[in-house]
Amino acid sequence: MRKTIFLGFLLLLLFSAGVFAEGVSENSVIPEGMPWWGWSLLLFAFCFVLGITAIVAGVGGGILYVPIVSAIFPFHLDFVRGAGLLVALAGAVSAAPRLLGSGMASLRLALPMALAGSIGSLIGAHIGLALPSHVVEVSLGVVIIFIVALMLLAKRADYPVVAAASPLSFRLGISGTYLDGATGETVHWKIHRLIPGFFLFFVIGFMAGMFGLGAGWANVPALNLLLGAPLKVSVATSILIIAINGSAASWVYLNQGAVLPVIAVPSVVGMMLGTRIGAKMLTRSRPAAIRWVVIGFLILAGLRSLLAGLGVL
Amino acid sequence: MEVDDKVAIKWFRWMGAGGLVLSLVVFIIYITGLIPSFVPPSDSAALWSGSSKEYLAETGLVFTPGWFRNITSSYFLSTAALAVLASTALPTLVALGVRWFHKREFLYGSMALMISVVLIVAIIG
Repeated sequence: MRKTIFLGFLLLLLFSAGVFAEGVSENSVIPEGMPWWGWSLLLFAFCFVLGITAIVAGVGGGILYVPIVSAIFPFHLDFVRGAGLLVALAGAVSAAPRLLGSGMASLRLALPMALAGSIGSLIGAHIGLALPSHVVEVSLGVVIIFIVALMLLAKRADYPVVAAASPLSFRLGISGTYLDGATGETVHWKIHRLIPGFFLFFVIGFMAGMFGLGAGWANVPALNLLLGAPLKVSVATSILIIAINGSAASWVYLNQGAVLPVIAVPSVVGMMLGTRIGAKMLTRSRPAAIRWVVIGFLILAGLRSLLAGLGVL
Repeated sequence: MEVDDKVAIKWFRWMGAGGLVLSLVVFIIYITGLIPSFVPPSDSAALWSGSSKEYLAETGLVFTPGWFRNITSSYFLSTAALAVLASTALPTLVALGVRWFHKREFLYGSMALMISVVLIVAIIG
């Protein structure tokens, strides 16, 4: 814990190094009056806190990043979405080895869904960057409010009942076994409804690419409730899918100049350090209360995006 | 743990950590001005409220296919380092695909190949 805090402090110092090297010229002050490095530093600190909050609240960092950063910081939505995809991707890539090692994440379940999702995210990212900003803002507002509703209303099943594996999933060998640490029992699982799941993951990938959101909010219910994977397998495999799908969409944003290093790097590093701290704080926190605060923020950010897109704000 | 998982873990771990460290180191080079940049951070910040299209028009940056070869500028170098992070899945899938074809698991090998093609299409732009 101390090492991580020290590293965070060190990075704060490093991010401010630019001002000592270049000096504060007239150009280095953006219209709002704060120098660029101040914004980058603030973004790093904000993402650090966001990373802690995301883990403690049990929400993916990717879903919080785009609506909240676009509401608070003076960056255009194009750059926030580009950085948001990298934030979600970096978090997923960092978590994937641990989840694969624990046997919770299934490559065989992830791969067909990632195929559909990566095609969807590639198309979604191209369309998202081609659409006028106000259309994306309105759509993002609607999607965020929908996600909040999904978070509040969607039921989850720890061990969904799958009477028989679908023929295709049987042929692909999509099944598994893991030791549930909470109960000490060995859980055997299989899935069904693979083809509807394939199409749903195309749509999820499309939305993730279009809005720069991590897709855990949709991947988990789809894997758990539609395909019938146990909740823990769904959460872990969802992260694996994000690690694959995020690549395609991120490259679209990179190739169109929509990834600014001064926004993306502080965001990725801040979020990753924050999630490490958050994982350690998890045992001592009150996730339910924090989850409600996060949901409140998301509602406000969604409404702001909707109203800004409609020209009301 | 299956051998397939071990292969994926190795690539995710190396590419993820490598991409992150590289992004951070190159970013520090960019903001300290150790290597000249087409767009210094201060100019980048002055334009970040506009759309990406406006940004490219104002800065004169051109992101043609293969832009990442232009790494003599620290701006492109920093973006290329982020691209390494964004590319983590590609070598992972290629390694898995080769392994699956070798094991005669053609369905999974083909899926890994197809996703790799999607990623290459995204990279080529």
